[in-house]
Amino acid sequence: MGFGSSSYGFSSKDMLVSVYTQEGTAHLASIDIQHQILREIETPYTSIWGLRVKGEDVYFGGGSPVEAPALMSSKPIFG
Amino acid sequence: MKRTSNLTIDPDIFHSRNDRISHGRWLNCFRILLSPRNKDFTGQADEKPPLLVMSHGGPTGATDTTLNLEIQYWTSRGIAVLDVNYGGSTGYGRAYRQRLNGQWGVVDMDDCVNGAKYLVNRGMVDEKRLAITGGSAGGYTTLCALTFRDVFNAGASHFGIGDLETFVQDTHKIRIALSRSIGGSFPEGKATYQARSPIQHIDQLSTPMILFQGLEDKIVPPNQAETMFAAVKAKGIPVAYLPFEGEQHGFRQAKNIKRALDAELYFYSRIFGFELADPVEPVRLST
Repeated sequence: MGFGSSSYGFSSKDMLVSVYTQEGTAHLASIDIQHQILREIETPYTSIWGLRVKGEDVYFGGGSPVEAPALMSSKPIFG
Repeated sequence: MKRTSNLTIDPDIFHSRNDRISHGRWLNCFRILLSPRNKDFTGQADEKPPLLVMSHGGPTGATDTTLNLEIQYWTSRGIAVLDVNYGGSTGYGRAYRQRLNGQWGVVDMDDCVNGAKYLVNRGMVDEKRLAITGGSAGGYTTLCALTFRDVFNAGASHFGIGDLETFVQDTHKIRIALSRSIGGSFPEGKATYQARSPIQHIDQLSTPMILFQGLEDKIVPPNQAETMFAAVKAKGIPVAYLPFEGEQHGFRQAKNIKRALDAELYFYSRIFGFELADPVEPVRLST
């Protein structure tokens, strides 16, 4: 991780989008702050980094054992 | 979801999504195993593949799970790869990361060694053709495994540390991190630095190795590889040293990345005694 590293961002005042790593595999999730509910956002990636969130848009670097690292943009459905 | 790259891979050569890419915890260590694959070649039924164990840098980083063409270089040439996230690697929780505290040069080495032994015991790889490779901290782990353990038959150190005692005196900026990893500051903990320095135990070494070094490396200076090369050569063990002009800590120039990979393959072909499918510029082995 270098300068500008980011593993979370706010999509609204009540909703957080975050990356977490478990058993070596990265996961993308939304967190409803008010109700403290974590919901997995499904991706085909095992590695996710550099997360940026702007409203409903989510940007990140991602890759998997069969997909070379690339920049992604996504509009996940929250809630 | 939109992505900036639509690069696809050839599943006949590279591992595809349906392959069994094993990412698991065995013997309290996380490792990723990739078996050999190439549509144009089939291993002989009575022959097990060579194994290349990879040890990542850091030492508290982690190997990446994304498509890695360097790994595919080896698997497409008939060599199984075991990519080791040894104790101390990030991504597996705090307790796992803390396994390395004070144990650098021990836990990392033994997690690599035990991974190779595990695959040998399961009959998956050839115990006479086991190699270990790594860069930076991974190069240090490699040199430790070759010196302090009797499992690997060959190894490659890419800008690895052979002497912690000179390294800590040359590299002031990371002294604190180093003392945490080693388990003592310098010079107070000098005995530990000496005990875990491969070059100071060269009497225990009998395994051929190849050393790669960027001559502008300010993190692990060239004197680490140069002194290791001289010591191994003086002992009469097959060894090669490839210094690269204009390279720092981690090679950046495509021609040098290619040369380093090809040279390492050539080295293994000489030590393990297999023919190369494609011509490769030879490497001079000193004995």
